[in-house]
Amino acid sequence: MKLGPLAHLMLSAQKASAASLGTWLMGASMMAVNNLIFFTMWFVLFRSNSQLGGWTLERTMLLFGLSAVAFGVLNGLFGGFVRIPEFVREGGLNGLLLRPRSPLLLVLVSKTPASSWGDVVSGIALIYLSDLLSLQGWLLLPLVTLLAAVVFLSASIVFFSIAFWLDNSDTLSFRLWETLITFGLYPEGIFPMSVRVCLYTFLPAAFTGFVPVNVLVEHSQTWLLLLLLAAAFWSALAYSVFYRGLRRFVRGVTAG
Amino acid sequence: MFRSLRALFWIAFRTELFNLPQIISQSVFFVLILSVFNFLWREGAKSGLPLPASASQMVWYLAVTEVIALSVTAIHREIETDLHKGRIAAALLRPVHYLKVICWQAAGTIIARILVFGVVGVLTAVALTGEWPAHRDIALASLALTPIACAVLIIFIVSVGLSAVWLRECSPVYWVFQKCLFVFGGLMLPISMYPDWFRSIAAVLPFQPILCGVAQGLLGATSYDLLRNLGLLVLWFLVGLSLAAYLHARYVRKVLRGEL
Repeated sequence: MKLGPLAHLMLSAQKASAASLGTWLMGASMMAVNNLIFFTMWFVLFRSNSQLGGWTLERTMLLFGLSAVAFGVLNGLFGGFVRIPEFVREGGLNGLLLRPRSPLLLVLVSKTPASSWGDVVSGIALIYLSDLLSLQGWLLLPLVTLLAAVVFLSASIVFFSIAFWLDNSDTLSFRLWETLITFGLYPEGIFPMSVRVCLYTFLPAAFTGFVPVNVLVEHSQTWLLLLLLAAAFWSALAYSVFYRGLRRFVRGVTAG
Repeated sequence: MFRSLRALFWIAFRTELFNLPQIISQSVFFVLILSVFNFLWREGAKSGLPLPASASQMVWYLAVTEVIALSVTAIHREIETDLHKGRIAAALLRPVHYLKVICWQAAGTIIARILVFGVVGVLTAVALTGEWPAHRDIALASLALTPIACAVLIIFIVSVGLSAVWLRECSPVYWVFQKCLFVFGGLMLPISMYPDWFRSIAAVLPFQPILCGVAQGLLGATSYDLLRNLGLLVLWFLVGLSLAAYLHARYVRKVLRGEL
């Protein structure tokens, strides 16, 4: 069977990541344990209270599981976005520009951490344990996860592309990225309206967590349409920001 | 030798204090976390969640535990890189022990961070809650334990870093260590909120004295509790130190036998 260039790139990145099987298995299993340990906090909180901000333990479990799967998929296949500042700073993009494939794609597949597959496994376990998905929900799950992963990846590309304009921006990008992950893991109901507005706009945590959960549980077409629009908007933004930065890089304008 | 270690401490202290992008972005993250939990505790209190103290005091509790957790640097990654690049083996020829160098540098960084995050934590907690800690004298005594708790934490992270001698990558061990610290240490939820069986496990692990033990002053612990926690911190520091020294000795033996 002939594979396309994209599939070849992704496959070789996965092979490189799993070159040491022991390290790969340990990374993945420890991440799964890590996520499950972290989730115990919610068991404790919901032990004495059936609802928090209108959310139940099961719904929170679905939120956490879905975010973990979306994050695991994007990081496991395209985890190289964290290396954008490194490529900019150390001139690694020069080499990529000479190659026939899209430099963005080459950057994205340059890192595929094994631990991400631990996120996927623990995420699926939590989604299953939440027991909230009907057959229709399970059928919608791959699409919804993909859309959440697209928003996640696009926002990550935007955050890490700051390096084209700002020197030493690694920490700032990491914090923005961590903030995106953090806010997406808490029930929407605990946030006041002003924060929710931010989570649906500048920091799209709503589209990596709450909205996909609403689509899966309520089978709402409106929520699905909103998620689709968000995925389209954020991927266009990521593409535009990265290539605008790349043009700046090509012109020899350095950050700082 | 002490002069060189002191110099390393001050260099690390100043470098950290003037590393503005790092300090600012971590402070912003700290403020965000406190804000998220401020919302969570208020919502919890509204929906009848049995909290061990008022929502405001819970924010103060989190401010203290987060100062400790955020102040400790990712020293394990530095150790892992040094191991892979052969710098620890090269350090065997130097007059100052590698572990002392790495710990004194970490101490400088941690003290700088405690100062910054301490100020950020107090200002944010006051701004969010509009209140000061209910038991101010005990809270101050709690804060005095913060550097000791960080020292215990760093000595265990050194051991996590040295695990790379056998595992090649220590990050997976660190993730589990970190999450155990968050959960068994009571980073977000005080241990008193957990079920009995969980508390009995937490009691025999080093995490509880590092976070919850220090911040319990904010939730009305007595001076006796804090004194007891100080004893536990000293005990766990000695355990952590012995473990790090043992792992380093095993590594040196491997180097001398040419097994690496």
